[in-house]
Amino acid sequence: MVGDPFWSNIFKREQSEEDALFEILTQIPIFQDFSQREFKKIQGILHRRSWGTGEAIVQEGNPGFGMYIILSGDVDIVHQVENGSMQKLAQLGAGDFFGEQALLDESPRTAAAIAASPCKAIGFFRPDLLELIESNPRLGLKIVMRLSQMISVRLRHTNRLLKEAREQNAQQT
Amino acid sequence: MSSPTSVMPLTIRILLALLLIAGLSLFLYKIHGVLAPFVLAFVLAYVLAPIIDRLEGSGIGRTSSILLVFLSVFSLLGFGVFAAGNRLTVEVRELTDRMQRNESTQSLFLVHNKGDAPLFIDGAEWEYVDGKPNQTSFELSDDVILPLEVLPGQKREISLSFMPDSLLFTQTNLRLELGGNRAGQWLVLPVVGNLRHGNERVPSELGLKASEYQIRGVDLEPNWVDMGEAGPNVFTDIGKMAETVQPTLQSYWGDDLDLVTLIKEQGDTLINTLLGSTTVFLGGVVSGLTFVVIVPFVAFFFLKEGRQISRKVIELVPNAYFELCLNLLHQINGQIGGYIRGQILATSVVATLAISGLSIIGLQYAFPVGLLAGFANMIPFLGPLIGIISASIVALATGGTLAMSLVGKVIVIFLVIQIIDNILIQPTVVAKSVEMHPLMVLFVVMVGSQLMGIVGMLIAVPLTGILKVIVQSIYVGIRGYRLQ
Repeated sequence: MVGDPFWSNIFKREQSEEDALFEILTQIPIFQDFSQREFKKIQGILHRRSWGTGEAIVQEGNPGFGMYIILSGDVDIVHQVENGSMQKLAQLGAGDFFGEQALLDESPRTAAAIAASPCKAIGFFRPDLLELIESNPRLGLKIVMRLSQMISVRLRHTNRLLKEAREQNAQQT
Repeated sequence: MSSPTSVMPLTIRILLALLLIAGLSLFLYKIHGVLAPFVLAFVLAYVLAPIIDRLEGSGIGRTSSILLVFLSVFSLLGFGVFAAGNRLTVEVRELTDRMQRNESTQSLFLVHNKGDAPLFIDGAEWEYVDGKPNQTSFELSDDVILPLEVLPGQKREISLSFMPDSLLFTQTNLRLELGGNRAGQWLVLPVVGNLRHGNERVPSELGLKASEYQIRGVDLEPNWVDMGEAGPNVFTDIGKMAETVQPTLQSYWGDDLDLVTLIKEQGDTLINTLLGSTTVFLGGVVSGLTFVVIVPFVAFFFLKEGRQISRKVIELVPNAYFELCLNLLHQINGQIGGYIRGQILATSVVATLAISGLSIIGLQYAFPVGLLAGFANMIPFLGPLIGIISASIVALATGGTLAMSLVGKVIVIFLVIQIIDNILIQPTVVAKSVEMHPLMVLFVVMVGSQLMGIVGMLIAVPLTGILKVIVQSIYVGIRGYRLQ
């Protein structure tokens, strides 16, 4: 049944910037299943930034500080090889994320992230996560568990790849 | 590795940033009198923030959490003030008056000769209003030499000093004996001291009296003099005690030893050092309106919107320095927060122990002295010394014949408190976040004292800790971060 055009226009709910952000964030494994209420609680600790084309979001070798979630634009993940040239490892777009391991420790970044086009991203950083764990242990633990699960999946994937590579190597020899 | 051409601009940028910080610091120092309520609100916000964060985390809204905590804290404070009654307020006022009171005041008046012939003042005497013999609270200053000639149309200045031995309202007349062709006539000048302790009608009564005493052709300007407020202070009392022991001490150290003058001079220096710049800073806080209204108001907004304010500031930072600055902010936050909360707790414990201990030994003004000792304990090295010295001074001033034994008890009490503080309190509650060499700590505390009195001594260490974090982070930034 078609809704009444008069009343539905008066009470039409315009999608706000916050709603759009909420939709993007809930696509990220760390923030999956977050309610609107939980999202509101972490909104205060997220940092919105903008970068121009060619600007570095993170530099390779810098101490890790946190993760970035791309809202719009493209980001190249690049790595400096032995001869000094830059090797592009991946290109990320809206909804992708990188640097999540820096939420756990300060190890140097293993690659650089360069804006391939004007882009906007959300930063989520380790000190803020630690403060969240202190002030809201339940929510902080939820994020940390999700992070651990993500890293665990990647580790299993890496182990599988390593196992396959060894088996291939063994077959060739 | 950065190329030489990119290192120079970065160095210059860092120097500019440091100049900016120095300029901002100078500006803040110039307006430090106005800053007092904001600093207090900032400290209050830092102390209450973890509790409010926890409440917010449990599901209560931020504003509701702040209001709930404010209600609890200010109810407790209100109850404390009510329970203590007027006692603390009265004792603090009495003790402050006794410490800071002027022993003597000076003033002057002018003798205006409106006649055609010279006026000669041959002598001067003092009398009570009701005709009692001369009293000694008032004197002509040493530079007034009689007889004095006042030429036609001339105004001559005569200085007076007032050094009473009590706080009571004192009124007298200065009678100036005239000579020459006015021999037999007297100029009479009503003079009062400690007018605050007199009744409200005095000024109008004196005005009427002065016009009755007037002689044609000679004006006294003003026609009655208020010498202000003066009276014995703590060091006068100690000086009187010193007078009794001085002969004994002089027999050992020789007649050159002038203990009374030494106490008076060093006492004035001590008070000025401790309280001089502090009163400018505290002037912004001592006003009741400021304390009750502005501090909670500002603290509320620091708590509600502090995070947004710091985010807005961070948004202004260029991308290349963003992570470095955010890291710096968090480290400073950790430094300040841990230090303030730990010190507040340590201060509370030390103040409670001091008030209890001093009350048990029967020291007068135990409440304000114990509070002072608690707050002073925040100052590294010198704080405990300030506590002992203050309590000892009060013991000497109020102890009467048992003053020396009371001082001994005070020292024992403070030794016990220091042992408890250093073994139990400091290691467990005070954050180790500010790590500085003891010489550095002593230096910055002295600098703080020079700039802002006691308040300067209190904030010197945490402020230096913040500066240390800033410099270290900038250094790490240059070394560890590849800054564009």
